[in-house]
Order: sequence, then C-alpha cells, then structure tokens
Amino acid sequence: MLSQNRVMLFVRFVSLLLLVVIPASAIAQDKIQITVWLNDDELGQCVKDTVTAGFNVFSQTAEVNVELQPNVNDTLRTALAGGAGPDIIPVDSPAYGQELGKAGLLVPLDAYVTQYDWDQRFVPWALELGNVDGSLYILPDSLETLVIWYNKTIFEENGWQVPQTMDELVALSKTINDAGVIPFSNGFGECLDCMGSLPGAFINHYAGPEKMYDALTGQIPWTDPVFVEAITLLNEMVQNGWFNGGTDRLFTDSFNTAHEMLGSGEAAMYLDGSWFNASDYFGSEAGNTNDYEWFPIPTQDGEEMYMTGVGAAWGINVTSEHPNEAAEYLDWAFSPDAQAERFNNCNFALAPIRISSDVFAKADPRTARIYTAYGEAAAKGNYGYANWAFFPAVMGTAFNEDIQKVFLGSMTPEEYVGHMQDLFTEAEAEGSLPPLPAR
Amino acid sequence: MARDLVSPNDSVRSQERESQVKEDRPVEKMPPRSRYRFMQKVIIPWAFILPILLLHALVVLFPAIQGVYYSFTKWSGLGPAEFIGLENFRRIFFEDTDYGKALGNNLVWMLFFMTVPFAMALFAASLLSRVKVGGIIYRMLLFLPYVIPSVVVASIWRYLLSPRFGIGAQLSKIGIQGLDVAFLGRTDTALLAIAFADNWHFWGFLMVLFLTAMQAVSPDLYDAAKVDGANRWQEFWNVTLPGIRPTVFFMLLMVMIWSFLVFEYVWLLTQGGPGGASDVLGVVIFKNAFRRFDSGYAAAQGLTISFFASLIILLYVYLRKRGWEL
Repeated sequence: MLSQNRVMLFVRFVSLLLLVVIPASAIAQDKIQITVWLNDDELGQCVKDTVTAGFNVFSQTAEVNVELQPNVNDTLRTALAGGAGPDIIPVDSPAYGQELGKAGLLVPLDAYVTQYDWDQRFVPWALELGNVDGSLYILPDSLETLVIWYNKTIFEENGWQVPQTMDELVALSKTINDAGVIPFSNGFGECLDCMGSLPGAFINHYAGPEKMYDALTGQIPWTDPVFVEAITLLNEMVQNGWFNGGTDRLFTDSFNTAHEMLGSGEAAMYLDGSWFNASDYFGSEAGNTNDYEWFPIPTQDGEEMYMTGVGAAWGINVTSEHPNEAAEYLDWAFSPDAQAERFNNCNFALAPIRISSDVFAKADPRTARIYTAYGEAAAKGNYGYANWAFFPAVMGTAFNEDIQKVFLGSMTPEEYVGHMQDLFTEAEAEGSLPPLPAR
Repeated sequence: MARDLVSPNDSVRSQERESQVKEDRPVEKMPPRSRYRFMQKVIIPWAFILPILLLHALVVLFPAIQGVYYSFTKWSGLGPAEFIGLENFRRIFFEDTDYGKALGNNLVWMLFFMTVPFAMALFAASLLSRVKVGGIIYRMLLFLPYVIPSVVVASIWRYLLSPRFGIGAQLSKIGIQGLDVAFLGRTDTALLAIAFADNWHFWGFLMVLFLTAMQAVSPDLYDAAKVDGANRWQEFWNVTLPGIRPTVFFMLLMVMIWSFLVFEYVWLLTQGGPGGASDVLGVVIFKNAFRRFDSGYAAAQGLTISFFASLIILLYVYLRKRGWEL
C-alpha cells in the first residue's frame, strides 16, 4: 500500500513538472531563433551575458543565440562568401561594412530606420557611415578617439606640465627622456599592423581637422607639406628613442608590456585609445602606488581636438530568414539602456547615439570625461578623422604597414604620403571612398 | 609438336577454362565474359572510389578551378568578379616589389629548412639509433614540440626572444651581454628568428622519420663495414645515408614545397614585419585577400605558388624516371 502511494506521488510530481516545464519550453521553441557571432574573448562573452541575455528575456518574438568565434572577422568573410554566416553581422570598421553592403551581402536597413526612429537616436554623421549608394547597410558602434594617457604620479613628482601644443609635446618628451624615463611606452609586438594609430594621430593633430577633411575629400593631395611635416616629426620622435626606446622595442613589446611600463613609471605617457582600461595597471593591485590621467593629443595651435573613430558596426545578413527579428535585436542593442549596461559592465565603448550623461554615473570619471570633452570639442567642429574608420581599405592597410618602413629608414615621409596619395586616387576612381561627415 | 610445346600448367588452365565454359553455358542470361571482366576490373573498382572522388572534386578540384578563374579577375572576395585577363599576373611580375621580396624570403626559408633541420635530425637520429636503453624517452622528448599547437610555440618563442624578458635579457643579467636583442623587431634577424622557432618545433618530426628509416637498414651492412674497418663517419656516409636516401630525398622535396606554403609562424610572430622584412608569399596573399579586399590578385599570387610546387613535383617525377629511389 505504501509502495502504491509512493508510485502515485511520483506520478503526480512528474505530471506537475511536465505542466510547468512544457509550456515554458514550448514558448522558448516558439520564439524565432536568430544567431550572432562575436569574438571569442572577454568582451564577446560580456556582451553575450549582458546585452543578448537581456534581449532574450525582453523579446517575446525572438531569441538570439551567440556563437563565439576565435577570429570573427576572417571567419565571417569566408562564411559570407559561401552564402552562409549568422543573421546579425558584426564588422570591425564601417569601411568593411560598406564593402559587404556593396557586394549585396547585407540587408538594406532604410525601412528599419523609419520603423525604429534610428535617425533620431544615432548621431547623423555616424549613421551616414553606413550608407552605400543611398541605402543604409550598417549601424555604427563603438565611438573611439585617441588620447595620451600619462602617469600622473611621476608627472607631479617631476613637475612636468601637460602640453597644449605639438611643440610643447616635443619639448616635454625631451625633458622626460633626459630624466631617464621613456616618454612613450607604446609597443606593437602583437599587432604591427595596429601601428597606424601613431601616424593617424600625428597627421590629424598636426594638420588639423580642416586639412584632413580636404585631403579625404580630394581637395588637397596627401603629399601636402603639412602631412609630410607631421610624419617627419613622428619619425624624429621615434628615432630619438622616445617611443619605447627605439624601433626594436616598438616592434616587439606587447600591449601588456606597454601598459605595465606606464603603470610602473618606467614610461611617462602612452598614446592609445579611449578603450584603454588604465585602472588595471595602477594602484596596489598592479603592484605600484601610481595614479593616472589623460590629456588630449596636442595640436599645432593648442586648440583642443579629438579624432573621431567608429570601431565596429552591425548589419543583417542578406541570407537571413528573419531580418525583422534581427532588426529588433539591433534596436535593443543600440537602445540607451543596453548601451549603458554594456559600457558599465563590459567597458565597451558607447555607440554614437544620443544618450543621457547619467550613463557615466557608474563609470570611472576619467573615462567619462573623455566622452564629455570629446562631445564638447566635436560640437565646435574640432573633430578629426580616424584612419581605421575614414580611410579606404587599401590605403588604410598601406598606412599601417608602410609606417614601419618609415621608422626603419627604408621609406621617406615624402614617399610614404606619396604612396597614400596613389592609393587614395585609386580608391577614388573605383568609388571606394568611405562616406565622410560633412563639416 | 605444337602439343609438346604446351606446358603442363597451360594444360591445366585450358581444362579450367573448359570447365568454366561448361559451368557458364547453362546460365545463358549472364553477360559475356568480356563484359564480366570489364565490370570486375573497371566498373567495380571505380564504383568503390567514386564517393571519395566526388568528394575530392567538390572540396579540392572545384575550388581549385574557381581559384584559377578568380586569378583572372578583379574581385574583392565578396561580390561579383570582373574578368581582367592577365592584368593580375602583369602586376605580379612587373609592378609588385613586395611579391619579389616575399618570394626571396621564401627561398631563404627553403634554404634554411633544407639544411639546418636536416643536419640536426640526421645527427640526432644516427646517435639515437644506437641507444638501446631509454631511447624512446629521448625520441618522445625531441618529438614533443611537434605536437604543440603553433600558437603556443609562437607565444613561447615570442617570450624567449623578447629583449626585455627572454633568454638574452636573462643572460645579460648574469653578465653575458650582446644577446638581449629584439630579434623579431629587426629587419636583419626577424625572418631567421621565426625560422629558428619553427625549426624548434619541426626538426623532431624529421628526426623520428630518419630514425625509423635507419632502423630498416640491414645490420649486416654495418657488420660488413666494421669488418672493412670503417669508422663511425664512414659507416654513416657509406651505409646509413645510402640506406635512408629515399626518405631523405622525399623529405627534401616536401620541405621545398612546404617552404612556399609557410604562413602561420610568420603571421603569429611578426605578421611579415618589421617593414615587410619577414613577408613570405603566404602572408602577402593573406593580406591581399583579407586586408586589402584584393582577392582576385591574391588568387593569382596563389597560383604562382602552385606553379612553383608543380616544378618541384616534376623534379620528383623526373628523378624517379631516371631510376632514383624516392
């Protein structure tokens, strides 16, 4: 009798369990499944855990499945060429996204812009970056700029002042070097092709935004003396050993080594992006008692300006069976709430959307200040053009590679900008110039 | 007379044939003998290899033909391709200085790998072939780097070659100066430093192959050499080396082909830098295809690698026809 009761109890328990579980799983199955690929790194995992997890709870119609890929950019390209790939396409630059759009591999987003009011949400010039022949194919993400991070403690100990102009920067670098400290800790051992950020920063801040705009629109050539002077100045600083002691170390030291050098005070400054998480390399946890700050890269006339870069973009695969649901996800991912969550939890740069300053409440005030200072300067028109966002692909690649030859002495600054001009002309003739925000 | 010339075996075969014909006769519906043989000798074997042949055509032949087609086009790698004839090849041979430089680096790489690892492997294998106790431990230790993933090997050697933390830096701390050099950051050392790291992982594999080949050499030959008063060097030169010659030559040809395909270690350690000093064809092709959106041109460059590999294969075929044991 007892045994029969137990059996009945078990049957009731299982029935109850089925009643509870089946409808839940049925709902999950009813949702349309869409996929997105992200880089298999800490950032990708964080986005998966915050943004997409949040969407999956929020959405009644779709569920996003994140697949982490070791090298998402190259993997994606092969997949797309074969007519496959995820529903939602991540790309590392607007230029790449435009190539995909041009090749007819992405869904035009114009209808969704109207549906979701994206034109109200995104900063107009940034949204413009996704335009190919009058249609929008990608949404810009990850607003970036370059600044100079510095070891505030050793600056204060030595009485060094933050420079306002390029001349002051050169003088300060000499002073720091004479004091036995390496002026800049930069090292590109893991990614020599990332070295383009140095000439990119110098031509922008030496030539100024107007000249950059003129060159990028073909009104002046890249061989203009101002660009030659900018590259010559950078090269002189490298040859002086002010960047990590010289080309040997500049070409071999890793990013992590560069960060540690800055934190320990072996080097005083570090030219890097707004994405740099400096707090990891300062303070007791990093084994030092130093503090950090940043200042804008000086200009010729001392006017504060910031390069503008967009480091990522998103589109919808033309082979996707569920473009509407993919657009719904994009709308969620670019919502102010999702952006704030991503910014605060993943240290992922904000997308170029209109967003309340409340988003910075939980952020490090120094990081927050980059965005506010950048916004203020941009409002006055003092924004430059990041090479990784506004240069045509062929020119951008050569820009990164050839600067090594300049530093090694096998190419002169004149030849360097001359080569850029040739490639720019080629891209212009092919209609491959990325869209540029109007000034 | 004619009957006398027939051997007993022929007679037996004739009887078998007659009995076979008798057995066949009642089954009139069976195909004629020639058709049966054709089925047995041609159709059935082909039917067995057909699945793998189709698979090969799908994953090798079809993409290869596509690659040849794209080499005559301007193609970003994403959209439709535009046929431009021989323009890509004109660029390769008359315009592109990077290609020539990369090809030169491939030849340096080939020279390095046809000498250094072969000398090391032959030396180690000839020593190990005489070790009777514990030899397997040495073999395993020397073979171990070959099974470590290239990403790991590259990370290890990036660290070991670092002028800040690596071997040179540590030696410098104890007073041995001059080796704390940025081997991967200098144009004169980058390529050889990468080859050194790759060789560290590769030569153990070669050694195991040679050791296996050496164990197949008849001990009688060594005994005869000893009777003739040969020393160790003479034994190696006159007995061991001729005995393993097919393996050595085959591996030399393979290394020649592999030298044109080298990519991963160069990419992982320098991406072809600094300033293109360690660029090899594989890296140049990758950059053209995946960084510059110039996949048609990359396909043409890839085709030239196939051409070089074909030359080496022709050399192999030629030597075999000349009677070389390969």
